[in-house]
Amino acid sequence: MIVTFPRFGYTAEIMALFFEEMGIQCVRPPLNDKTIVKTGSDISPEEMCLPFKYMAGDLAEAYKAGADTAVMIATCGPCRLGEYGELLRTVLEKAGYSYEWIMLDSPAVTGIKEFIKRLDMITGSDRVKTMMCAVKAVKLIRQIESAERRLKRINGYTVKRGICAELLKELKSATISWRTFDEGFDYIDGLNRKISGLKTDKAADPVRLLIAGEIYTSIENDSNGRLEEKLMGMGCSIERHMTVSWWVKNTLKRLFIPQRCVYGNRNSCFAYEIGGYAKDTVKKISSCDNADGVIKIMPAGCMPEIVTKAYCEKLQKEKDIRILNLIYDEMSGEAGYETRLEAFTDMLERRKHVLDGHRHRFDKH
Amino acid sequence: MYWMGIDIGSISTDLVLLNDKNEIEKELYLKTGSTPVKAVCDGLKILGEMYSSDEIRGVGITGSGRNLGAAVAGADVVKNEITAHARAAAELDSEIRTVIEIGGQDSKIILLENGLVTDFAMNTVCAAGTGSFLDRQAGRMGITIEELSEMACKADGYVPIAGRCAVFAESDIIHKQQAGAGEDELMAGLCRALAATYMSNVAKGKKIIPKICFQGGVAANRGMRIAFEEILGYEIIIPEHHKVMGAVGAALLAKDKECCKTKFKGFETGTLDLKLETKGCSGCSNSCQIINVKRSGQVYGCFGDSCGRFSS
Repeated sequence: MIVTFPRFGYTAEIMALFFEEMGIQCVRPPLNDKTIVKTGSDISPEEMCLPFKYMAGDLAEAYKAGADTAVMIATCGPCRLGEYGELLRTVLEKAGYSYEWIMLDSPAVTGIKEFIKRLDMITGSDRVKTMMCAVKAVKLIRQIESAERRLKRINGYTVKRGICAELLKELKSATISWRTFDEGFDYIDGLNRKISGLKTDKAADPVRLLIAGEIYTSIENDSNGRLEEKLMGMGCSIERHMTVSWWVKNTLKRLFIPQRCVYGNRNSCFAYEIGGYAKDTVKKISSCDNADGVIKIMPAGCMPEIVTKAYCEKLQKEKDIRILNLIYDEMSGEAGYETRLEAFTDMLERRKHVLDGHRHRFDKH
Repeated sequence: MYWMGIDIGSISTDLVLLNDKNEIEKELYLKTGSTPVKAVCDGLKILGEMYSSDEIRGVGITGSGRNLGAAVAGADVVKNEITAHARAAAELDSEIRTVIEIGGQDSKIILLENGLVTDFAMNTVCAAGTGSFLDRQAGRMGITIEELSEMACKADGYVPIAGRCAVFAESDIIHKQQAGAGEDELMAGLCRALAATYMSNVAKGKKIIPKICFQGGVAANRGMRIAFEEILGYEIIIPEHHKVMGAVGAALLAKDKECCKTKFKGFETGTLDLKLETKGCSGCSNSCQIINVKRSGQVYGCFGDSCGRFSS
C-alpha cells in the first residue's frame, strides 16, 4: 500500500510525516502549479470548482508517481451534496486512475465507529501510536500556522523590508525537507526566536487587510495567484481567516457542540447551513474591527461564497467595511488581479493618511 | 520644470507634460498597435525634439503596460490605472463623485468623496462593456469610430440591441438591419447597448452620485455621452483632455511623491533600438517570466520578477 492525498496547505507535508512515522509508505503529490491544475481540468467536468480541479490534478500526478491508495479527508458538508469525495473518485476512475479509496469523512457524519474502522484500514490496529502521531501532527500544524500568522501580521512593521516574506519562503521550503516531527518542532522553535528578534517600528502604519472566503482558495497559495505574497510585497500587514488549524478545531467542535451554540442566534445572518464555511466568513467579516479592508476570495462557481458575497454587499453599506471581491478560476490572467489589488491597497492607504492629515504622503514604491 | 505622465493602454499610448501649475503643457495620443515599446519610444522621441531631459522633474507611468514602460523609460511612480484616473479626476474638480472610464479593453467605475477613492470596480471577464465593442461593430459596418459617433448623434431615438455579449450583439444588429432599421438609429442603439452593459456589468450595485465625469478614449464618442445621460438622468462632464486623463493622473502622482532625483532615463531612449526578450527564472517555485528590455545585447531594463531580484 502506497498512500497519497490531495495537497492542502501544509497538511501535505505533515501528513507525509505522519505516514512516515507510522511506517507507511506514501507519495506526496508534486507542489501545486499550472501543470497540476491543467491535469486536473483536463479530467474534471468543466463547471467544477477550482479546488476540485487542483485535487484531481494532485491525485492524478501522485498516481503516476506510484501511489495506489488515496486518502481523502472530507466533511460531507453540503458542497456537492456531501458527495465531494465520491465525485473525485468517479472522475479519477473514469480517467483511468484506479485508486483504492479511503474516505475519512467527518465522524459527525459517519459515526465514530465507522471512522475508526476506516482509519484502521490505513494505519493498522496500533491505535495508541496512531493517536500519538495524530496529536503530534495537529500540534505541528498549529505551531507552523501560528508562526506564519505572526510573520504576516508584523509584515509592514518590520524595519527591514521584506524580511517576513523571506522567512515565510524559507519556512515553506523547510517543511518539505523535514523527515521527522522533531525536526519540524526544532525548526519552528528557531523560527519563533528569529521572529521575536525582528526589529519593528511601532509607529509604522501599514495597510491592514483581512483575507476571508472559501477555505481551499485561502489556504492553497497557487490557487489564489499567490495573493499573500503579493500583498506582503506591497507592505501590507495581513491576517487570514481560514487556516488548517482553524478547520481542525471547527470540525472537532461540530462533533460535540450543537451548531446554534457556535453561531449564536440562528437567524442572525443565514437561517440554514448553506455549505462551505459561508456562515463563518460572514461572522468574521462583520466582526473585523482591526482591519482597514477585507479581501474576499472564492473560486468561480462556488455557491456558498456567492451567497456570502451578496450578504457582504449589505455589510459593506451598513458597517462601512471596504471589501474587494476576487474570483479565481484556472483561466485567470494575472494583470487584472494585480491592478485591483494595487488599486485597493492604494485606496486604503490614501484614505488612512489623508484622514490622518497627511495630504500627499505616499508609499515608497 | 515638467512632470511627465505616460499611460500605456491596449489601444493608445498617451504622454503628457505637466507644468508647475498642473496645467497640460503638451499631450500626445499615439496608437499602441502591436509594439508598445515602439509607441513609448516614438512618444519620447517626439517630446525629445521639443524639450530636454533636464527639464523633467519626475515621471509617472500607468496603464496595463506600466511595468514595461518603467523598464524602458525609467519611472519614479508606477501605479495602476484606477489610482491614476482617480487622481486626475480629483485634480479636475474635487466635487466629482463618480468617474466613468471606458478604454479600449477595460472599463471602470470609481467612486470618490472629497477627492478620495471610496470604491471602485472593473469589468471582469468580458469585453462587451468596453470600447472594443464599438470598434468591432464600426469595423463590420465599414465606418470609422468618429463616423459612428456622428451618426449616433443625428439619430432620433434608437433601436434596442442586445448588448450583453459582443458576438450576439452582432447577430442582433444583422437581424435589425434585415428588419429595415435606420443606420443612425442602429448606431445610437449600439451606444445605448454599451452604456447599458456597463451599467449592469461594471456599475452594478454602485450608487452613482453627480457630478459624474466620463473619461477614457470612448468619451470622445458623443453618442455615448447622450446614452449615459439618458440612462442616468444626470448631466455628464467630459474633461477637455479626457483621452489622456490616465497619463495626467500618473504625472500628478509623480509630482505628489516629491522625489529629489528622477529615475527618468532621458529622451534619448526614444532613439535607441530596443528589443524584448523573455526568459524563465528557476529561482523558486513561482517560475516567473523575466522580461528583459535589451539594447544591442545589453540589458537596458527588466521586469516580471515578483521578488525584485533582477529589476531592483
